[in-house]
Amino acid sequence: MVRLDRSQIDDWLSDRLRGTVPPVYTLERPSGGADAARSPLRRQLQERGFETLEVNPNSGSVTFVLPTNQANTIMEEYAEQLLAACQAADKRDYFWVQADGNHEGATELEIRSRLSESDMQVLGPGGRMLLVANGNAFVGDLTIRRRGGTQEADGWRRPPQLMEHLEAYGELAVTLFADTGYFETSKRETQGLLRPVLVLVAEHEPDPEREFDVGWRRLLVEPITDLHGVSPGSGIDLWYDPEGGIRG
Amino acid sequence: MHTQVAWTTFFRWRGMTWLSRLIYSYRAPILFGTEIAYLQGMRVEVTGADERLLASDYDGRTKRMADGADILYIAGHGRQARGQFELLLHSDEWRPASAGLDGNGPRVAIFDACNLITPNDGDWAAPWMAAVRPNLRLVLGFASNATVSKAASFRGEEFAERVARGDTIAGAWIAAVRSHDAHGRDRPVAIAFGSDDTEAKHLLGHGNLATVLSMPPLTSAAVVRRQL
Repeated sequence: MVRLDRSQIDDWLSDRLRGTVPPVYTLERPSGGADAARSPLRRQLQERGFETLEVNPNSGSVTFVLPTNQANTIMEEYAEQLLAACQAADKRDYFWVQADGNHEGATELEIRSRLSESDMQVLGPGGRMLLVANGNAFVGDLTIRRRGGTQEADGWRRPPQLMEHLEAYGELAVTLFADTGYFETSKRETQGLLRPVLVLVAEHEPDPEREFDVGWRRLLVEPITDLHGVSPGSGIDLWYDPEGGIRG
Repeated sequence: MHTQVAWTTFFRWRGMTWLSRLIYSYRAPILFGTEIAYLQGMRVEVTGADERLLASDYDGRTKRMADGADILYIAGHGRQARGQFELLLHSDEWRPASAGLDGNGPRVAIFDACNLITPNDGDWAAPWMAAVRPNLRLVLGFASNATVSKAASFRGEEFAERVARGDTIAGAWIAAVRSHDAHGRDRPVAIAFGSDDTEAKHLLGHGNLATVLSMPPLTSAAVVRRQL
């Protein structure tokens, strides 16, 4: 994410909302639904030798166990297999988040994705594989939904009242972090559309001079393209909170 | 087994300071409670909300509410004040390292709030080591500000699911927060209490719910370790 101050947001966003308007993708319903045995993703992981624990019926996300070696690190052959499992879920560009692929000693790793067609990354708690250390293994969640058709967007969309919301912070010291990309929701959520959004995080660190000041972090997720007949919240349902999100 | 949940969504003015509302802070404790009751058969008790949730009910001034519970999951504003974690509730503040988690308190306490510790504070462990806490084995929270939103609050449900599955408690918390973090800026932290360094380290790496609930009380000051 890019760190910005309030005076930079407008120009930064204008720069992002430029050029060819990226499409919106429909997402396929999870295969198998509640019937985990019919999940092709689960089968993919099992065929690669991983023990699977469960399939989330809302997203199709598969939870699995990844053995580690004695140093509690992920072996190189597994790293390749995991990238292949992501590709089997949906054809995207995948990359380990940690630079130079150094997994040693990590208790948490992830593979994130990018859509080369639109040259946009996939943001959010989904669209990735998350691996967290658990005893002598890692527990992984593969939360990557398969894309179906595309819908052309009508044009770029500038989130309404964004600057008014930010100005409402007044003199309060607020730091902003922002990014744009497609937004994929978590393993516990259903999602029918994969659409480009602005993710904006507003943070306040407590001022030690003010006796009861507290820190907080607020999150705004807003679509950045318009789709005829489709509400701004479609595809990002629980994350779309234009009234409560950034204002609190 | 017995779990307590509580939360604060709005706050009384402190002098001239207005504390921002946390309109979705109820969700994580509730989602945790319903899921752990369903999956683990645990008795879940709501011990307070908003102006009915008082620090004095926890820190011994009027009651010691957390005594007898196995797990406590509580949400509100959090901050570091006077060298220790302070949970800000509607009208007062609870400093759990000072009182309320000692004696007969819970085995696991989750503070779904900002700044349980400051990661670069070399003295972060001192307040937690100042008293003998026979029961307390794990404290979970954030080493950063914490996002409180509709979807981020699924961390409560996720944590319960992982704990019920037998995952390590520290790993379950870290994974639960990260699974519902849309921006990568929430930093979950787990703090373990052991009779020695080996035990504290083992708790972080291998302690699941069954292990933690079966551990004998600590008889002397604990060694404290953290996992970020």
